[in-house]
Amino acid sequence: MSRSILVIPALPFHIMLRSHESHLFSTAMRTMFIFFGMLFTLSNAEFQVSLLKESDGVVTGRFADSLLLSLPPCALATQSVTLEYNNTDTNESKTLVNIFKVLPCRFRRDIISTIENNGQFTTSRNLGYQVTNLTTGSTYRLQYVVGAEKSNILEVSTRQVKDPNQIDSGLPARSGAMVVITVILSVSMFILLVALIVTVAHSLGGD
Amino acid sequence: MQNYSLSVWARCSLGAVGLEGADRRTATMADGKGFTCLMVILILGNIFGAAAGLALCALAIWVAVDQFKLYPISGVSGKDDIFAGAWIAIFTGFAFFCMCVFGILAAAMKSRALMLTYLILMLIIYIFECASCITAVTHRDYLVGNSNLVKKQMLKYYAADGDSGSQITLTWNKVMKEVECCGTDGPVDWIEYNSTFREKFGTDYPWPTHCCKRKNNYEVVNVEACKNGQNTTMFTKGCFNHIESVFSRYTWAISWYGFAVLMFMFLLLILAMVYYLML
Repeated sequence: MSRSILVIPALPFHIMLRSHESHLFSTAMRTMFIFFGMLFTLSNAEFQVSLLKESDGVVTGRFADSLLLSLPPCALATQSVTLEYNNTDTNESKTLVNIFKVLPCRFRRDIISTIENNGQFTTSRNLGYQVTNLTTGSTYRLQYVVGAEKSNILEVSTRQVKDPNQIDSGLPARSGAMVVITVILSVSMFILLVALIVTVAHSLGGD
Repeated sequence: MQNYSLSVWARCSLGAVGLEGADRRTATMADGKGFTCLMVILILGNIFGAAAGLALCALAIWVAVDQFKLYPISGVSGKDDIFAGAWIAIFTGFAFFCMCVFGILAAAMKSRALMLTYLILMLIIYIFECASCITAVTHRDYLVGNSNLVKKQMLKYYAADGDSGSQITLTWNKVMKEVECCGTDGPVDWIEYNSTFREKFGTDYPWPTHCCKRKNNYEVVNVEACKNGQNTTMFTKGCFNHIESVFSRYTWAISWYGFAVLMFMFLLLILAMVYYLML
């Protein structure tokens, strides 16, 4: 993958030589070096790490005291993985060395291991890595280091646990049914009462 | 057939109007077509009303029995008038039945005293039934208008000590197992908020193990996967839809059917008052 990126800049370098203008040539060389330099770091760093989401088959990737991270790509198989993370609030860093070995590409992505056993065969699937013992509601910066390769720095926060007493459990709204039933029944009760009084009065008055 | 019934109505209304306009003395002794017609209508209406009242009684018994066993959710919150309305409706339904039978008797015997008794007692029963309908539908709005009350109650009382705590815990375990759901709006409720469950058991289990899928021998399929929240090993839908539909079903039985019976009784009572004036 890194090889294919390096091929492309050769073309503009070749075109520049044909122009025969010296100052253009030197600026071109500088741009080329910067370009090459950037490409070198890009190809060296940057496999992606992210939180697991619902589409990955979990309820959520963010818990109150742990996070579920995706795994390094299987191209880096059999190398051991180190995780460095940093709590941005208290600024304390932690490094977990050699937490697991990247599993080969034969199996699908890894680590939170699902073992499905239906009595006939067992399949293992690995989904991600769980970072535990984190503090609630803090922001962390996490990065995998696999051999010479690093991942991008993932900035994510753990869930802030809320107080259930703050949930407003008062009457949300009066439904239409309630209003209709109450109004119509109240009116009908009133009408009946008045009608009965008039009836009785009329019959008494008539005698 | 249609022409005949139309002419019956025409004769009844004309008869009633005609009699109203006539002299009072002759009106009380009138046995005109309108009068007989009204008596027949009253008797038929009372027969139908007796059947409707008995059905109301039966329906209210169904609600009071609570086959879904969700009473603790309303009982602990104090908003249990759906069931109080059901109890009232059992009695008023049966009372409507008895009074309608009495009404048939009173109309057939053309007795003023009996008709007056009928009217007064029916009005009292009517008022009680109104109370039942209104209170049932109002408390339903409190309980399941949105998921907040049920969620707050679940977080506070699930795994709590005491009578309320044990009732709520048993109810929720039953619901989660049978309906295959977790939490009120979803399992995230358990990790989004602090709860008695979290305080008691710590954060090792983010949600109760009743949220996990189980085999037929009641053993959890995969505890670790359930703790991590994998969709395939736990229930991910919320229980609120089920709870809301059950309470709504109970409420529509009591309040809307009660409303229908009351509207019918309203017309019947107006006719009975007219009949009483003609006696």
